[in-house]
Amino acid sequence: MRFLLFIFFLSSLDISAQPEGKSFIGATFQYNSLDFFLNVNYSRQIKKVEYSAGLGFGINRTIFQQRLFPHAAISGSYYFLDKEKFQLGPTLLFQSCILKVNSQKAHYYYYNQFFAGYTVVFGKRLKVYQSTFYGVYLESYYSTFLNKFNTFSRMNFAAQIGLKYEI
Amino acid sequence: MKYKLLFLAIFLFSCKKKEDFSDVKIIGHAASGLEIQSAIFHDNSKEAVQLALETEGCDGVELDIQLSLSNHLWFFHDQTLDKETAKKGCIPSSEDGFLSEVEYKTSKKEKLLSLQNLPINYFQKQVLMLDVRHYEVCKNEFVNPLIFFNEIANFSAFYTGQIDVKILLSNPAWLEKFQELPFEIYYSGGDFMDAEHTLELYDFDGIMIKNRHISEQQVQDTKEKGKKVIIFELRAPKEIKNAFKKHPDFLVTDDLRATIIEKY
Repeated sequence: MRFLLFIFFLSSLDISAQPEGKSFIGATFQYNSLDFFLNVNYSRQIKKVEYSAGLGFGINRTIFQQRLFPHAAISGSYYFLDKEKFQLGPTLLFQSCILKVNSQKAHYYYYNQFFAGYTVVFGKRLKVYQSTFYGVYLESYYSTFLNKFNTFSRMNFAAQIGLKYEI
Repeated sequence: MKYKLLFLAIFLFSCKKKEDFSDVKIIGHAASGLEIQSAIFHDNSKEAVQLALETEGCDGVELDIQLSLSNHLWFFHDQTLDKETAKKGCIPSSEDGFLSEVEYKTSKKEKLLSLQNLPINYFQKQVLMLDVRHYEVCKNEFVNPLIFFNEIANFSAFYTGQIDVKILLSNPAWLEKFQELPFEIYYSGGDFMDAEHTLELYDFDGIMIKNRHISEQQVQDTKEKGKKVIIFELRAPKEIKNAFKKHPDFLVTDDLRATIIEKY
């Protein structure tokens, strides 16, 4: 929760300082140990801070196994290098997804991931970006043995590439 | 554009009747799958066994079993401890006291699991496949089959009906002794020709074979001879789907959840 608040705090700093900014729409392709995720994103950059929200799905589960694997992500980046055609900076990312493994049962698996990493952006109006993340992965599931939800954590990484267009 | 999106949505989420794979049981390879990035726990660990057996749709686990120098059984996949733990040596040349201190090189540092510490209470009539490791690479020799046999035979929890035990043997010479056990015994060998030849010579209850080494027709031919088929080495959704379509008796999978999704 603190992680999410920090992302919003990061973005709100510059919103209050200067109302104008740039908005983008785009798509991200992410590799993660859970699946390959395809997201559509909306992002807004004000001065050196960009915050983004995206929705998508896991490709293997949703397309190849026909089991919907929805995915949502929010992130905040601070571009300490902010040139006209090049940007680089640290990024915080929170993403969450949900999966029903056994369709005959009522329970879902919940995956939440808190990542820190970097983002590098190339381009002027149409931008290409790449990010790499490392962070905490939390998995919650219903234990049939304990009759309650269990949560386990481990470290995880993710790498993504994306395209965004200034609107 | 609106219609294209609608078509894409219909294509992705259209109701397609799934083939019935209720005859195929799903078993976790080394409990949680071997070398799976998304695995929370190390293969063959107590935690991995518990997690696998808690998964709705999992019919059991396959574990690799080795005999220690103290003549007790331990679950471990590799021939040596070197790669997966901070220790060196082999299970058959290590005493129990030493093995009980060994931890996997993971962030959770799971301990090696012995047969005595197997979480029996997590089994609710599910299958436990014991992949018998009969060779000691450190000394370049076979371990004692009689001691191995006695250790399995004397484990009382195997006779309560709570666990459906199946033995996987890669050495047919051990079959005669192991047939004294009241469990099904499978030949775990090379390709289909090798498995078929072994079934002609020895009275195994079935075979365990890699997915790429057996066709749908060969599975059906084997089943028609009254033998069961276990297929393993399954990771990608395409491989899993392909293996299900062969309708073996068991799928020993490295991606338990993807396999359960395919079945249910």
